[in-house]
Amino acid sequence: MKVRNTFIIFIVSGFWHGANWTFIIWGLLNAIYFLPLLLTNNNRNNLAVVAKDKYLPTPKEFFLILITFSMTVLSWVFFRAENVEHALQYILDIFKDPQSFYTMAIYYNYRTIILLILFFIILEWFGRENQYAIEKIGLKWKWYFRWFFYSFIVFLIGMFMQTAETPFIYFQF
Amino acid sequence: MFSAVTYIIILFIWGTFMPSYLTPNLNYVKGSYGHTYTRLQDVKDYENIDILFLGSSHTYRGFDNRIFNASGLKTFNLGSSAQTPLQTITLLKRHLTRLSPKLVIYDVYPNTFMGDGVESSLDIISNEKNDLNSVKMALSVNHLKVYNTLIYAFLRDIFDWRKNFKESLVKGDDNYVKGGFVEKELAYYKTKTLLRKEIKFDSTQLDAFNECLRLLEKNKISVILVYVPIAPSNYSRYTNIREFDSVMSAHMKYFNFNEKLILNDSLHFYDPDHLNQNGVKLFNNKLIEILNEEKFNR
Repeated sequence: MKVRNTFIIFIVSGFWHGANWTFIIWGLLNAIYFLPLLLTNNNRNNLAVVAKDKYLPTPKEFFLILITFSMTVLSWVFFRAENVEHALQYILDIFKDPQSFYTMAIYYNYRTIILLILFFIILEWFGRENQYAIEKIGLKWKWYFRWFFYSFIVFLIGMFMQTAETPFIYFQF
Repeated sequence: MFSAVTYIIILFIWGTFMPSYLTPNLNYVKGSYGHTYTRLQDVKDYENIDILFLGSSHTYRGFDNRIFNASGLKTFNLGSSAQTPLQTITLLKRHLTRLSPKLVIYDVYPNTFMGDGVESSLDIISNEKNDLNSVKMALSVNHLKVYNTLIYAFLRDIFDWRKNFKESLVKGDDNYVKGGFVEKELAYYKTKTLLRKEIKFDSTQLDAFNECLRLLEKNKISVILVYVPIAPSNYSRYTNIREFDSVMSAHMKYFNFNEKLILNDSLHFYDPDHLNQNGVKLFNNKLIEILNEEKFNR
């Protein structure tokens, strides 16, 4: 019953985003991701903050974070693709040339975005116990240091945000 | 207030010391493509001219001052890369009174009525001292990159340690000619198939265009609108050129030189948009002939 309901919820969530198989597959994938937890009755576990009160995760925790993130991103390929064929081609292209993962030029071309992602991952990690990442960062600092920090984040947004037109997916609805 | 001041200080330090790949939303390039810096310095030497040319790169690569000077006309070419009416009005407000032209020849290229004006705003902000007109232009364009660059440029205008900046008159195959024209080393365009395109007017650009015409009218300056020739293969891609022609004719005396001259892609152009020097000579001589016929030049 629990498995059936979970599948219904995720598939309906997918369908809600639009009458396209890509959204259905996105929902289906998310439901499948929950399957092992449901079958082992572990779906209400793992709700606490990861690596609570610690600076770094354990290797096991790190691996689980990586797996969860990768699976979520994989399902987003379907969410954002024009059609199923497009999504599958996109995924195939990722794995077509594994050599490219070891080519430094690829990372060099995306160095700015990699630096920004690292900065925001660190920020999110230290703020992971709060509702917002920067909620408690700098509360004990002098006010001008804290405000400088906030201003710097605003500056990074102003300097790096995408300014070319990219239609927001929810504008379709 | 603290955040705003901090943002500006960080922007200035970041923009000065960081490499360009870390400044995607700040584009301050002095002496950029198209000799805008030199042209906007050069314009200060001119006053009471016969003809002022306005428009995009089609203008500064299409109207050769030397050909007009040979006909006894004192001209200045105030075109700049991708210049849209939003930048034209800014430049007119700065320079029109001193230049005091008898006639303005305004190049009306459809793309300039469709664009957002970001590229040209950045070009002008980076290459001339900024004033209140720059702020008005930035507000009209309303783009983060323009705001960042304008704030940075204002600070550079104040603290500039490159006051002695001098742009080379010859850059690559471009040669700046006094009076604003840029001569390209003779090259020939090889025709390519281009996608069909519909001209869609942007209302902000159209408003700015009307403001330019009103300003010129207020100063009792005659205006003719000119569509500088583009490669025929490029011209034929537009699906509604008749509509564009009728909008332009409704404004002022308008000449579409794509219809008045028979030019060839590979003989008279170096790319789909720009005349080579052979094309420039034919076009300019035809224009002078029309100006004489219509008694516009005196």
